[in-house]
Amino acid sequence: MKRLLFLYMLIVAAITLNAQDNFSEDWGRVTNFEMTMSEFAEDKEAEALVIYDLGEYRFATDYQKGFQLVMTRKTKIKILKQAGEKYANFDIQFYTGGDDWETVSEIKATTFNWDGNNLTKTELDPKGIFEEKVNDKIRLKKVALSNVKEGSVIEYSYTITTPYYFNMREWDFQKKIPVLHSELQYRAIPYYEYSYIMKGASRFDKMESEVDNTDKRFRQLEYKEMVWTFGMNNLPAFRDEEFITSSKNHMVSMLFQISKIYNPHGGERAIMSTWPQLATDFSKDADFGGYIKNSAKEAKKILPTLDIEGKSQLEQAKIITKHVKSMYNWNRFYGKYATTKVSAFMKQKTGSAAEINLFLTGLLQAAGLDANGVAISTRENGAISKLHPFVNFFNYVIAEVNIDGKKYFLDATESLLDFDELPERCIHVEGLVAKPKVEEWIFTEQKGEAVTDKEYTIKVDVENMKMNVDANYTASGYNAYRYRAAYLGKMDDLKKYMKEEISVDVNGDIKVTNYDETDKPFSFNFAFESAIEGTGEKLFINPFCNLAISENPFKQTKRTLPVDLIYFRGIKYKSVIEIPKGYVVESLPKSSKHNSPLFTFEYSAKEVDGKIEVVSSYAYKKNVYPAQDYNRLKMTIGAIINHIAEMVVLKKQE
Amino acid sequence: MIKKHILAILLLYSAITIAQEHRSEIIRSSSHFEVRGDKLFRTDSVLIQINERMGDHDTYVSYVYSKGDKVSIGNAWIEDMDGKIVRKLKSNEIEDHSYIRDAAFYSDNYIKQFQLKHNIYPYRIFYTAKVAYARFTQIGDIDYSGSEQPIREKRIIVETDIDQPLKYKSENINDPQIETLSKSMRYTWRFSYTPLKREIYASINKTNAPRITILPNNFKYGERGNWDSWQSFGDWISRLNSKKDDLPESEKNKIDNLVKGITDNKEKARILYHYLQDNNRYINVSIKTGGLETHPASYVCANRYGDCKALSNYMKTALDYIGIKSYYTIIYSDERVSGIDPDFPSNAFNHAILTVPFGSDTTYLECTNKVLPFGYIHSGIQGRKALLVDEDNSHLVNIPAQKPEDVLCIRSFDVDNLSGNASIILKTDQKGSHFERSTDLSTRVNKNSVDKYMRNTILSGSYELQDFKFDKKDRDTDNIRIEATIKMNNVMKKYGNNILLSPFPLDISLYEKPEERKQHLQLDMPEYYIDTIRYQLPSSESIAKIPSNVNIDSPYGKYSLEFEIKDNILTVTKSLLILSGRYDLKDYKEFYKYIIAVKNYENQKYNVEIL
Repeated sequence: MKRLLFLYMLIVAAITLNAQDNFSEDWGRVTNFEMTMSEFAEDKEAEALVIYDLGEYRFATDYQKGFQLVMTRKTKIKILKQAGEKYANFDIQFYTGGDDWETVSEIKATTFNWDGNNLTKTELDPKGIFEEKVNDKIRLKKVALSNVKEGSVIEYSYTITTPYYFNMREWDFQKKIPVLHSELQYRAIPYYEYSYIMKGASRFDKMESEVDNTDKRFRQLEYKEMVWTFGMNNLPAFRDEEFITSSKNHMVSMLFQISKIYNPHGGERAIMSTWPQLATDFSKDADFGGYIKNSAKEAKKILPTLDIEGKSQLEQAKIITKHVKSMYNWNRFYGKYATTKVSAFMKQKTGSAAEINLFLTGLLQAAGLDANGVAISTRENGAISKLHPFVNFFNYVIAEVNIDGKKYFLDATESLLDFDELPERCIHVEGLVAKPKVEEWIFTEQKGEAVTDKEYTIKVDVENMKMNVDANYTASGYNAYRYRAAYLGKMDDLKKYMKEEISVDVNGDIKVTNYDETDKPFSFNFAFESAIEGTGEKLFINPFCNLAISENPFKQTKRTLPVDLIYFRGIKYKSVIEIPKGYVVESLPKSSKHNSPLFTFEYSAKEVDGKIEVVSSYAYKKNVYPAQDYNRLKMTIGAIINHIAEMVVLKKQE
Repeated sequence: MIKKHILAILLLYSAITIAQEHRSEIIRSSSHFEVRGDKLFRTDSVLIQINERMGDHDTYVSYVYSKGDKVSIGNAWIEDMDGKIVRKLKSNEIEDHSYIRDAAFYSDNYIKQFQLKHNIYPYRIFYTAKVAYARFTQIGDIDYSGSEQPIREKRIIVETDIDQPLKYKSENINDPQIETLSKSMRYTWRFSYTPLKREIYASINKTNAPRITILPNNFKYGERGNWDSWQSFGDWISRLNSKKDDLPESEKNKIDNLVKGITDNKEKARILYHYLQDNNRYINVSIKTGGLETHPASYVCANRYGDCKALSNYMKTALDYIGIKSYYTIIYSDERVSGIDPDFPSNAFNHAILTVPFGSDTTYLECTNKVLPFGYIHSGIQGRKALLVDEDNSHLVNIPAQKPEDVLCIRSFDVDNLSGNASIILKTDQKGSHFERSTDLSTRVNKNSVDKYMRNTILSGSYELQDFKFDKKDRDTDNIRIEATIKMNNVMKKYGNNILLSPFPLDISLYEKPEERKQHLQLDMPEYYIDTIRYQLPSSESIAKIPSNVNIDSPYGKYSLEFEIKDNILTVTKSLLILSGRYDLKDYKEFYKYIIAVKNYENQKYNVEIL
């Protein structure tokens, strides 16, 4: 056993040595291997390869400004394919708002090319650096390297200096191209303490800390730096897959948050320590709790116009939510804090999710309801790690209201959703209730299953080999939302949607019920024609008019990440076919029933009183499936598609 | 990209479409232009009515401007239907930041914008704004054909020096009223507009939308120029871009080496074109007059990047150096072809290419694409007029149109194991726009993107892509082969003594029914497909009858569907041609009849009777 182990170690050592020979991490130096490699053996699809990505975060001293956080990044990339040339253009974002500003300096970049005989080095011309003003607070340095083509190796570095010590940049170890080596060194000083959280992996390949014994002096302070090193090796390219919650949950990265500031003269100030403290901070913050309070003041003018007197608490909550939904528009920004004053929001009639929902909370509170703001992390923003009380996890605010022991979660950004129906971005996520001194978490559930009932009444026109169909669709949950959004009170828009999305050319009008009644399913009736197959002797009729599921959403051959369908969903079909005169049934599709922990499916077809009735339904039993269920899901859906495509066969009576 | 100097408000439309009633409308709008020497001053006064909540998308007002221009927003407010002011815009509500369009890397353009929104419908927004343009080539180039917002009353007023008459061209707008004042002339146009709903392949050359181009006779934009003729405009472009042919010695040496020993001029040009493709990339940096003026050849040599102007100019310089004459050519690049009026010179272009005559044979070079074959005329430039720039001999040229054989895509399917999960070998040879997309994709092949591409353009439906291979004979071949192995369920279903086989339908655009169609039809490119499908039927079955053949011949194209059975292999051969053309609305019904017949045949299952 021991010998085996020894052998194994030897082999590993040999490979590692080789790898070191192939690639160099010395600034300004390239290896023969780097210049001549034409593909990355471990991932032949890779369009480029990060050879190294090294960061150094440290504190510099400035006699005027005090400690400044300095973040330097050095990166070397091999361009393997033409499509990888885009990695030779990059942006550096920095903040210029407020009294103080960040700077980007020492942008250096070199392109190396090898033509078989000569190695050429092209340095970045400062004229290739541009500055874009994104808005009043954010600017971009835009860099385009010169002389870049397939085969080039590029190396660049830059430094961001910031007075905002809370703005320590996230370090992304993993990228959309493979990374050989990514390492961040952080030189800590005794006055600022940061917490970090790792995402997408459970441990670092390298994690070391040591004290640098050099004595540092700044003003009256004497201190030593503690050097932390975090490293990852050989990370594969992260490629987007369908049905994932958020790439942020899966890509390997590291986030920082300042947790304590130590006063050199004794004493400390905790910046972040506990969830109850965070909840308290939210409830007291001028742009959160304060905003709710100010909204409640404004409510004195609004509530009397809403006719809520004498109504039940639930009724009142509904009326107030409807008012906010109909009077204010969402500007498509998220946010955990309001960024304008309540008065400005009310004037502009438009605001971020934070402004709209904090305002809603204020109105609800003013009506005497037990309402709170809740900070959440939307689905694409990634999951919250409970071990790390980071305010940066949150990016959105919803409202909660407690009525008769029941909690309702509200979001007034989407007027087409029901009173307590949250948009997709907010469901199945955790939230922290902004109440002082308590840690109260909520989990947002989907309100009702997203189901569409599709009913077809079919009359066969043998002469023209077509069928005339009367259809009735009734949709609930997010399915209803989708149809309502397509409709928006305009029949022509719904007709267009039907044509473009499901290729149905509607004849005449569509009759819509419950457009405004968001608490009821959205329902609509329409007529269309569909072709039938056959020769006259025999008719082949697809009972669901070729409109039932026909494309398997699961197409991957292998799956490594969980399958997130966002919400529970299902569909029901019913079809009644009038048997045309002179024809009889030759064959009907078989009935079938399937019920597994993953999925349910039913199908039945029968002949009753000169009519054929076909009923089918399927539903997903989970909203998130582990990766190992992928194949079974794919097979199940494949089988369902197969069954649903079965035809009813009629033949001419002899 | 060449900046089209449009002095119109940037209209921000959301993706949401509009039905009969309009979500917003322009009640009255006036744009007053004043030409003073080389400068242009514009004053706008606009009243917009927002009819419903979706109309809030139209409450953004924005002005794009270049460095050196000055935009000032005057009064702006919301008023109710009685004209009572609800609230006024505050100056801190006006945003001002960089404006860099998608294709550009950097430009010194900026945007000023604000939003005024209310929540009691309908309401109205009023604003005034002034713009001082530091330089200009056109006064107005306004086209409402993309707009879905009705205009009740629009006025365009242009004042110019009495010795500086205007040139103008308009459609669906009455002639202007022209007044001669003491020192100036004043032109006033008045019109209104009710937009039609968006329709597929609606003509962009024959519409009901008001369009107007107003030009000064003379202008100064870097250089002095005038709109007397296409030739004089070309002459100006040529002066603006003169002395840009500074090829460094090292580059000359490289070029000498590349073409050493080659005698044929076309071969030399091909080698240089490949050299251009392999060593440069597209990056658009446009500052100062960079919208129309090119960077010099030395810029491309130093950076190995450039935009269409810089790369074309560099290529022209390189060709000049080895004694091959070529011409910088400007064009409007888009999949849709807009007409250019030979009698009305204007800056109707957004792109630059190179024209290289070889005797009687002319080659056109797209210098921004790294994968297209030498001399390939792609769908963004085919079949239209362009301006060839040749000092005092500039003139319009016709870029040849793609013909059916240039866009022919061939698919062949071999379908085996019909009774279970069928395995299909698909071979497809792509030409035309399909080739352009495939060949681009072949440079960054990965399974996800190929899967998506296959489903969107080659074969839709439920199947699993197992394996694929791109095959291009050489870089200058104008077609690419994709071979794929796919697995598909449900290809064959058996009902008694009938076998129904799933077809592999071609994807045909959805057209409006004739009774709904309002606009003329314009098909800019032909579509041509030939399919062969071989179904290996189970050997246990004896075939009694196969479907009958179909042939449709129409003025709009041809369709055929033919069946043959041999050794239990059913071979289906189909061919679909849809010709390019511009058709009047009255012919739409016949066109639709053809398309719908094809569509029905394409989607029908093949019914094979067995004994």
